[in-house]
Amino acid sequence: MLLLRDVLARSLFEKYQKDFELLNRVLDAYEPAANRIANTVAVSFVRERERVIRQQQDAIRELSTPVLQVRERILILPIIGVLDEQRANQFTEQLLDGIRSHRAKVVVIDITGVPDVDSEVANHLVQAVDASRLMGASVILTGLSPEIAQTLVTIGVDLGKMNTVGDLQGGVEEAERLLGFKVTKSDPVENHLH
Amino acid sequence: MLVSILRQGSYLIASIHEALNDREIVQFQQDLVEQIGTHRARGVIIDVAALDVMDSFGSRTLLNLAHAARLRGAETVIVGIQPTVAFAMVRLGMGLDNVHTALDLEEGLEYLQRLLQDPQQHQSPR
Repeated sequence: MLLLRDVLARSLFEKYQKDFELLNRVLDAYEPAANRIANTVAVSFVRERERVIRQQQDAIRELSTPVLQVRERILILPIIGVLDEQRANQFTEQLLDGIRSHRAKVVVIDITGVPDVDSEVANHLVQAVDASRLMGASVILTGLSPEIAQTLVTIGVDLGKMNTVGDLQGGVEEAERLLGFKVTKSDPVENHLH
Repeated sequence: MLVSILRQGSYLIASIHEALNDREIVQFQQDLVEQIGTHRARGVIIDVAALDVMDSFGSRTLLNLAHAARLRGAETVIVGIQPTVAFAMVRLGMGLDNVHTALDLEEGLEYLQRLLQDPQQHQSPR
């Protein structure tokens, strides 16, 4: 864009080289117009990019904390990706709204996909669990990686009153146990075994 | 009528219909603790579903109420805490420790029934 502006200016110089007075007047008219064009293009370009980025952020945010019902009154909330404060807030909101709308009794929060947890996020999790209890639901936390487990112990976050289970499978089984579900294995259906 | 206290079998169901000021909530506390005796209630359910804000005084009074009710021989379950209220309360460090909570009235009744059948649970609310 700026290149175009320079090229045009140069051609004007060449055209009106002889008449200095006229050149001056032409440039007076030309420059503000050229600047305005450049400005408009640049601003709308940036705006469009910002819009796209915002759209993607919203999409990521919406996708990143699904609330899934696996059994009657059992919810799973897998968290994937880094939990910053905003996401932690949004997560809590979805957790509590999910408890109300699904009338959940047990919620399994799986943090296998969370690479790192700092004290702030850990405290936020503890608060989310307390708030869930106020709404009559108990929370099972699963998928704490060895690193996260050690970090939490080192920074001294009290997860003592939290119900933690090693992996998601164990968490779901524990939730089923709490609600008295019994899963029994019977003979597999033939058609599915190719 | 800001709060209605209904009797259902051996339970009292108190539902708070709108935000109470400090004086009203203390009045409510006194009424309820008194009625536990007159109705010989064994369980109390306090329904706060209509409240979308709860201050520290309110939640502390509910806590005191629950403890007073226990001394009068009735277990208290608080039901219907809204998601935003629940999180705000925890944020302000006023979780209702040692109080039973349930999702809604139906859950609360079920919870009380189980609680009163199995006194083992008296000591440890979830």
